[in-house]
Amino acid sequence: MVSLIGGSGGSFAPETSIDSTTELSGVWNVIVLNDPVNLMSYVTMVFKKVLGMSGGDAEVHMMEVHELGRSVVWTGEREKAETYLYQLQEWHLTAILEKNESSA
Amino acid sequence: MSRQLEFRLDADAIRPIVQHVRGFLLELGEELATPNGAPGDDEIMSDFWSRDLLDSQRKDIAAIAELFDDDFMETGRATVDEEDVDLVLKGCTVIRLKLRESTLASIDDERLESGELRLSELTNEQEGGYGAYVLFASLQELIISRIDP
Repeated sequence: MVSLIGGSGGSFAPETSIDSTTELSGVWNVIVLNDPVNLMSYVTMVFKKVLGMSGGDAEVHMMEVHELGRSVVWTGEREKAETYLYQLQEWHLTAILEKNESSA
Repeated sequence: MSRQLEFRLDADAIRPIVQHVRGFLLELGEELATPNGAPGDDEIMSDFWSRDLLDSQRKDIAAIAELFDDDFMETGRATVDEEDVDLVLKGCTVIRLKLRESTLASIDDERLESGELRLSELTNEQEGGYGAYVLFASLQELIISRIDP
């Protein structure tokens, strides 16, 4: 990001600051949303296959999706989050990305 | 040597259900079964993303079409090769999602999930759709129980 700030002493002195953060930087959450179709056993299996979760963790997240309507199944940098998002969608789970605001 | 899962069904009973599903397999090659898409507003990325998802979905559907081919319609016997298991599992979901939003759209989630449906309340089309919905769920459960006990 580039900002131009008026300097002191009447002259206009451009002051440039570079902010390396972009819209896509930071930490992202991969979120799976509930749907009325997918079986609990299927969702659990997909979490294990795609995200490498243990059986116990996969079941906890599956129940969270089922009971709360959504579960954050992975958190981390954008590129990897997109990869997981695509894979979950390829298994026909409804999944989205959201920026993890608490890490900003 | 790759393993195979084999199952047998009553071909006469299953024929109308499979016919019902075959009716919309082509449609599923043209549109995604879920409202999924790429994150963000980048149109080019979004286009690639959706196209890749659709290509992937076409492979899932092809695996289902191959499973319930003409040979199955005669014998009721089908086999799933180990390397096709993921495609078949995903294909079952695609079909169930499609049934949910089309043939079974007027039935509420709770009744559909619990199975508390009176067949007499259903139209012939809904009956076929519901049969397919249950069949593909059972197939998924069966495969998952074998590969992920």
